[in-house]
Amino acid sequence: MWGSTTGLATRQSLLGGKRPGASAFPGVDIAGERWERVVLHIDMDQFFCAVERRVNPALTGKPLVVTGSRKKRSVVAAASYESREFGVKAGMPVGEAKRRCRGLITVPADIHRYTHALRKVVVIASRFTPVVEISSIDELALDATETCKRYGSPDELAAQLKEAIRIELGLSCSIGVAENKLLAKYAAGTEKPDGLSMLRPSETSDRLENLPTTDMPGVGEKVGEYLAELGARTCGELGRLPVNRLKARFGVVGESLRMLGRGIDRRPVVPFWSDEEVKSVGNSLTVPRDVRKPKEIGRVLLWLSERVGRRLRSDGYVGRRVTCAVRYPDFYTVARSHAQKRFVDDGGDIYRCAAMLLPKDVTEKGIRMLAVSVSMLARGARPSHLFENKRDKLTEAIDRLNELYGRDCLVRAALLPDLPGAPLYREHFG
Amino acid sequence: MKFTCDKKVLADALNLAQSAVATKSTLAILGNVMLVAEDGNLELTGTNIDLWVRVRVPVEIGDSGSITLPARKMTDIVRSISADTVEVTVEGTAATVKGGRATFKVMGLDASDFPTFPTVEAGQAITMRQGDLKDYVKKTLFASSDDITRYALNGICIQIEGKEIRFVATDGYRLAYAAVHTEIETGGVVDVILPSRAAGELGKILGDDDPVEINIGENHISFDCDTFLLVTRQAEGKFPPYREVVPPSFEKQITTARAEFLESVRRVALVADEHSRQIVLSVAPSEITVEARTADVGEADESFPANYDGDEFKVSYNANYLTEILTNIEGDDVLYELNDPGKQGMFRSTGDEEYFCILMPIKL
Repeated sequence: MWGSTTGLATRQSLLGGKRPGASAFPGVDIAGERWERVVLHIDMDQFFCAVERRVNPALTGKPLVVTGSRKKRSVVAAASYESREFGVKAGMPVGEAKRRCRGLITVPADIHRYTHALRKVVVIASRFTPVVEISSIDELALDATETCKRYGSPDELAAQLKEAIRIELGLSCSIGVAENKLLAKYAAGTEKPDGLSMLRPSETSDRLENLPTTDMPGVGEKVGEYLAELGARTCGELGRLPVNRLKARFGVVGESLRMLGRGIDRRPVVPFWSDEEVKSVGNSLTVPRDVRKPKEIGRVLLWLSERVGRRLRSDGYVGRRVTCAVRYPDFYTVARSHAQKRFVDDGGDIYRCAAMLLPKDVTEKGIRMLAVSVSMLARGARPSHLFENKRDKLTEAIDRLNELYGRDCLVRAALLPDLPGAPLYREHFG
Repeated sequence: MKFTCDKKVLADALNLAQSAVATKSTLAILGNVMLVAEDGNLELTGTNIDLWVRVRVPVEIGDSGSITLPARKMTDIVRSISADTVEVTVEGTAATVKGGRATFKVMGLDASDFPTFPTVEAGQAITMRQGDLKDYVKKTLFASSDDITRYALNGICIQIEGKEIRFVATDGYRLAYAAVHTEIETGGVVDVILPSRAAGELGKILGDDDPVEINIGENHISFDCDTFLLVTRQAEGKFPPYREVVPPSFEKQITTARAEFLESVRRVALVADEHSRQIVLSVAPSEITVEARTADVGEADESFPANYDGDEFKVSYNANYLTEILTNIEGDDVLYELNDPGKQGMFRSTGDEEYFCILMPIKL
């Protein structure tokens, strides 16, 4: 799957984000209990399908999928609950979905429709607390530490918010309430659809003790297996594993895995209106199949570098440090970075630097995920180049064309044809 | 192997040899210096494979022989000894260092595993004053790049043509150029890149008045003087065509006091952005104003008189780059020339045709 930059957790833990330290949150007392923060995770139920049904109510109650594009070989972007009963899943080719489910209705994705609907959800959520983070196209995170007392309790706030979204937009969602983003997301997933679940600080450790690690957001089946090999089948066991063993097995993500087992997550809820300076710009990609061929790895790296470069330029940033992170098929993860005097915002430059940082054994062991990021950013502060004026002008022209005619109207020849197995619909969100 | 040596002489020699020793290396022996005692001399060699420094000092030899010893440790030990003479005895791969009442036993590695000193192919040879070479290195090295993807910029380009020797370094944002005219016709054309690491070490270990013989071979460059022999591999790649980016003439010419310019930039840069270091120069007839403005940090400005009679203009530079340039230019007055605020600016000491720096602006 495309690991996208919306995965803030991944980005922060993988690429040298804030290290978990002592709690910096003042906390709040609710019903005699100390909450570090009150965080809500809102997960819109079968969002794309629900929005389509709101536009065309005739689709209600029928098996429905939203597809990546109108093209023949498109994939399922989102599947309604009715279609899921037939085994239809996101990422499945539409042809197969139709074979599995007779009478399946397909609707091409209309990304603007969904962002428009999400914006309305954000407006409603903002009435309950100003700290609203847009985590993905169908998820929000809210920090209601300051405002929850007005509603009596966190779950009362959540219930009123759910009701408001239902009445005003006709959409249902699942809300999780807990002390941090990780636990709130986990809680939201426990009662789906149309659920409301609260995890009190006092219940957390009991609940996590026997919770399979794979139930935690961020731990996939594979990682779960590897953790089990270390003797951690549950979050409780994971939290008690010595950090050195986790680091030896998983590399740089070892520490955050342990924190995850303990239900600790210090990532702040970053409101969408925040003008906090961006610290780094990065993209990651988990490849559908492990990649070993140097040429393929190079292509993935170039694709990521180009993405990062384009985002840097469109936001007007240049950076001095390039970081390259690799996850091997056994989930061991390494991150290496290099800071230099030179400012980069060009995909080619980022690629060359990232390629130097790439561990030599990737062609032997293969990769599961690659990530590239640029940090030590400065806004629009790159001096013009003495020798690369022409290239800068070319990049500028390419950016303008891509802006005008779509993101990938002009790409490097090395990136043609598109990466195999890349579901097209993800392009919209990556 | 056994020798006795003046403590200061040995400490200095170790210090010199250590300058080439690898700081981080997977090969343990590259962290060592090789000591060879033979014919009344002790020869010390340090290397990181690309860069080599060899020093020869007279010692009193008991038994000739060789060993490699950890460079850092040995330097510290010999320096710490309070007595005037040091006695070193080697047995197998361990050395006993005696000085005053102290005795150290230091574990080393066999000298036969130490890499072989490169032979420098005979090539173009020139001799100059050590102090002069040191000066040219210092005046250009700061403009070189540390970009791991562009080796050709990670050093100083040395060009020899007729009676002229040129030292040029650039990282693409600024360029420093120093030319020297020799009395003697060199008779050859040379165009090589001296890697930054070697240049940096040279800058530290070169003396003043004694001569240094530079020999430029096919793949290596050697610097030979009384106190040491430094050999470095040349940096690979092609130095960019720097002449093309040096404008032949300029429309705008500004003269101002160098010290005042430098101090103003330094002061104002205190509030410049941490990474971009951006400052803005507003040049008006007879006055330059330096400004910096950073959100959440603050702002500053300062004006000083300048000799200029053209149209007003604004140009933005990286303060660190500008400071380095103004520090390296000598003389009381600096001549600042440009054609367009969006293009290269040239800085030099008034009347100095042999040394100049070019700086690219930040787009406003």
